[in-house]
Amino acid sequence: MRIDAPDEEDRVRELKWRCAAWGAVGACVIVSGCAPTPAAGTSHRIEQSRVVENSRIDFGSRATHAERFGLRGSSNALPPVDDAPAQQFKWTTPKGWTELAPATMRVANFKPAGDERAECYVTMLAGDAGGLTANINRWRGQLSLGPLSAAAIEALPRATLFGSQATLVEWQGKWQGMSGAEARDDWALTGLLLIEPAGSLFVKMTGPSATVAAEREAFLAFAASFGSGAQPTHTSESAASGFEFVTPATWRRAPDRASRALSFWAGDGEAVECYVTVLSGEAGGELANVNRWRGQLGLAPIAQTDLDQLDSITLCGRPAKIVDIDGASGSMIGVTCMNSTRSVFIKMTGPGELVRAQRSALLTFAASLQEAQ
Amino acid sequence: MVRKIARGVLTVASSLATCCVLLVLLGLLTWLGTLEQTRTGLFEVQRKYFESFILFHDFGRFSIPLPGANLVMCLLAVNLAVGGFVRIRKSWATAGVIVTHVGIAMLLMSALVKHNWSSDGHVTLYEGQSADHFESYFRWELAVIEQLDGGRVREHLVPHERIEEAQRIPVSLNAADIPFTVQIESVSKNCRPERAQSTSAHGPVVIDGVKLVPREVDARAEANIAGACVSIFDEQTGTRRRALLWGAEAQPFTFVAAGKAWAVSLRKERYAMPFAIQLARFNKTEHPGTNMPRSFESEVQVASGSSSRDVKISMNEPLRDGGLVLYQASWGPSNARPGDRLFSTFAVVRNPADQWPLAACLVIAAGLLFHFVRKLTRYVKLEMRAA
Repeated sequence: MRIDAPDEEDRVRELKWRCAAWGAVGACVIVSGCAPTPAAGTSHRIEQSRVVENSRIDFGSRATHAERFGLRGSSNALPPVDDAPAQQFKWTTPKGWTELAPATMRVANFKPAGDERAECYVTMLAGDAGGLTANINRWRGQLSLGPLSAAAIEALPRATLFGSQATLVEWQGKWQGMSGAEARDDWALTGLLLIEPAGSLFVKMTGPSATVAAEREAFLAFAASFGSGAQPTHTSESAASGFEFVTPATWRRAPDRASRALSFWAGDGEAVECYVTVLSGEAGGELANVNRWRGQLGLAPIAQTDLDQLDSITLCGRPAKIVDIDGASGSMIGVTCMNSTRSVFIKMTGPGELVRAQRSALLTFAASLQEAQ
Repeated sequence: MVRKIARGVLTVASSLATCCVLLVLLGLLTWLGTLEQTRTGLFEVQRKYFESFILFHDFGRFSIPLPGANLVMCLLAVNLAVGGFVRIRKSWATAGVIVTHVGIAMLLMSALVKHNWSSDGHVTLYEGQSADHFESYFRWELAVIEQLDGGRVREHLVPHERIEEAQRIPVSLNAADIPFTVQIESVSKNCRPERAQSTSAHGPVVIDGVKLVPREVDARAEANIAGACVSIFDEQTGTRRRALLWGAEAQPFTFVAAGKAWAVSLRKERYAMPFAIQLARFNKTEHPGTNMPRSFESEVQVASGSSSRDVKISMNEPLRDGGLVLYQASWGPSNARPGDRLFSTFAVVRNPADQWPLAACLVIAAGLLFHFVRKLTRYVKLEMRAA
């Protein structure tokens, strides 16, 4: 009978322990639930601020993410003027490839299908960029391969690039990269080199051998599709204009008018007009002309110091000021290129939003404008 | 016993042998760091070899611990202070040596000031463009920008440290004069934008058909382009906007809140300059028959207040003004054709101790000159006496 009594005590003791344990667990759960978790984040006040004059931010642009990041193929893309070379080309992106933002030296930049490490890009260099032999052997060096003889280079196959027959190279080796610091075994390079005295074009795909081999046909198709994206260069029929230029894709010629060397409608409809005027001498001076334009939009004149702050581009081989004017009745973008013998003005007018949408095209057009030989 | 130990420590700390060992270590670190730089970037080498107290250098399969240049220079400063100033015998015979030690101490001080209180970056200008600020090479900032009148904006700036913090946990930011809260949800140190259809469970956030895909962080810190996903919560209207920000974006994210136009941008930290610089013309000449530049220089106009002056900045002739030094660093585009518009890049350094090394070298030269001339005259006198 003495055996029963301890059993009862043990049971009670065990029950107490269980209650205590569950209580502790419950308390932990409650405490942990109340405590802030690290994922909740932290909060700070922004301490530093400053006022900046002459901001270039276009607060009204409402650009999409793709446009902001320079991803092409988006509607109404507004690539920066400095990326003008990229706009000179068009191509068909192979299925499964991902187009990346253009990078330094790369006018087109892709991630081929199959492997994250593979890459393909197009480079354009001035002149012959050192020649075919030097470039081929530089690429071979990146794959830890020895140089090729002139005869071997001569025997290399050809493939279409930019409408011409370019030299095709296909090698495998140990990838050292451009700096020679990388070490990747079983790597491959497939490339096309089109070298001309006036300029050279390179298309290069690198990555694991299996991926590069699998994407070979896509690479060749891409290279064959790669061509000029610009409209043909038009030499004005008007003897008065005397210009060579590239017409932006969304522009079309407007009827010639007296005192205008060239006239265009920019974008859909005829709401935005752009024209080129040539005047002898300095035509009253740059500041006077800019203030005359401002007056047309009901704005007060600016001082020479304000004019000096404006951005510049090259127009007809000379520096030219870019003048952005937003008035209540519309907007105007002008480019003024002053010279003691003859001054050139480009002027675009129309509703503010439409004019701003054509700004990039205007600057590309201005950069292409040359006085005919 | 304690005094004996203290004296021993003092003797070692001030000895010439310790000084020699430390100088050899500095030379070794410079050599190893230079070799390492061929494999990794300048930033990483600087951090590992020269800004550290201890490091592990890889010799093949083995990692050997070494004192970092920071520790070596601290010990050198102690050695110099104790041996070169406190314990050295003070007399005309040692005056030149003491002056030389002062010069070396100035060199160490200039390194300390440069390390702790300098900032550096670059400014890139196309011909005709001007700037009154320069940008860091690798420090990022988030700018919340409010449109004011007359082309002015007010920038509310979130420093690099907060961006780094947001790599671990979301960071909420607010200010009294901002009518919304900005939360940095996530940050990627190096990423590129790509088109995408929809957000996957564990993949990057997709907004407006675009995602920022993380990339391997480059050892060359300046080669990384950071990206962030932010949400902007307007408490008054209860609206929440989400946006992706990318360090190389052509335009900031813009929106309207409380009747005002705002923009948010992720960009390299910007530092104001006490003057504005305008690139008037960039000149380069190539080696005959090649595209390799032989020399390049920038003709700039430096404007401060109502005055301005024309200056030429070339590879070995920097511009020094207002505590800043602007060096001609590079130019581009590298594939520019004749007649194309060129840009010029200046490396900008704000270093309060910029001229200290020159002064230190002059002090060292004066000390050594005094010491050796005195030795020479004593020797000549002794020879004349012996004769």
